Amino acid sequence: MAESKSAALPLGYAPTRLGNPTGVQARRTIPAPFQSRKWFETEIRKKSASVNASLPAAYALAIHRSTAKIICAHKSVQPRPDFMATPVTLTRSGLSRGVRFSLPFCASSIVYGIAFGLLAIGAGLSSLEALLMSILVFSGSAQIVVLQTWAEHPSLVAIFIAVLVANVRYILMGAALRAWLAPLGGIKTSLALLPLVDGSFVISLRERARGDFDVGVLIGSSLVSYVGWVIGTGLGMFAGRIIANPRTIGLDFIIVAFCAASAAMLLRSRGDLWPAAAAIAAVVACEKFTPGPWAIVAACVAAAIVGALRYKPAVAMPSDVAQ
Amino acid sequence: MSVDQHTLLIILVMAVAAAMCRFAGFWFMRFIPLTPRVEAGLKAVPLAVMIGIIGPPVLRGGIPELAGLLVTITTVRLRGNDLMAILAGMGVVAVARALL
Repeated sequence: MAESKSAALPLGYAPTRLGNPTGVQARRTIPAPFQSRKWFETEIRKKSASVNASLPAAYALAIHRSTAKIICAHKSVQPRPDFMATPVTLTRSGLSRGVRFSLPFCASSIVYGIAFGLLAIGAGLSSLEALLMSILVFSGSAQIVVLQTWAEHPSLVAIFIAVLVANVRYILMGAALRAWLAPLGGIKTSLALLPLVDGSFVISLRERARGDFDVGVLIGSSLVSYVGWVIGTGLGMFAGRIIANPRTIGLDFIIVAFCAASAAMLLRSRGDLWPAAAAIAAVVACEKFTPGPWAIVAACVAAAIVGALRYKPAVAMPSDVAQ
Repeated sequence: MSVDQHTLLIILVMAVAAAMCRFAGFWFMRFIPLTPRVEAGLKAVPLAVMIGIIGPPVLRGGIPELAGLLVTITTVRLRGNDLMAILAGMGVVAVARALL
């Protein structure tokens, strides 16, 4: 292959520092059709058809993606970093499945809402203010954290930071959802992310593990929690005016009991125990040194680090992916 | 039934912060490849959220809270019904607070 010395190398042959004088095909080649973005996308989809089945395949996809990205840069093809691993849909039947799956959670979110309503009464919020907060913010832990410091008249900046801190977990959840939601496009993704809650996140991941990739499951279960939360807030405000001291009948314990029950249900395998132990240690340390809203974040960070460190790939990475 | 202006401002600030958190992770992962290791770390987050919420009230509380926690966890592990477990935990806390 004499022409291969020239600048126009035949596609499929990798240039070396010597300009590939031998014409021998290099081990890592740039397949010609990589120029076409459409081909690239179909290839990615083909590669990822098996991803749901096994972790090694997912690993392979990640490697494939990064090599593809480099090749795209080389070919000045605009890469999209968020190629979807699975076909994503958003259907009405998915929505109704989400609603159905999350009905057991709805009771919990009503109970949680009641707890917030009671707290809001104690802090001196009017019913309308508490309802408005639940409708617009829809974040139990953040709302509770802010109400706990309500009497000290915190500044807007302090409130903003407290809400961010209490919701750091949503940043992590959103990160985990990216691979799934990205191909849906802006509006539908916003629809899925805006009412995101712990319960719907867990439900949708469980359904996804079972092979249901409809984003409606996520949105439907989020909406059920949302409605339950707002109704619960209203009920709590109502109950708070009747019950003199909610502590005596253990109403303040509802949140703790709810989380304990969910945690006990989430704890499935022995592998979960290590991140959980790290989270507990972080909470105890946090409570000892800086009591306040940092416990959740400390627990999340500790558990995420331990979870990532303890991850072991099932097999070595397949070497044929780059070819 | 009235809304104080300052309270409304606080609520709006909270709403913006909460929405930002919900979008930030999704947007940020544009720049980080989601490797299985990163995913394994993210997977540990939901349970840690629960532990972070449980921890402070139980650590600050006394025997009633600890007993309530144990009863809740035992009930949900044995019966698999979270509503029943919550009510049982609440009941134990109420009774223990009345007695102690």
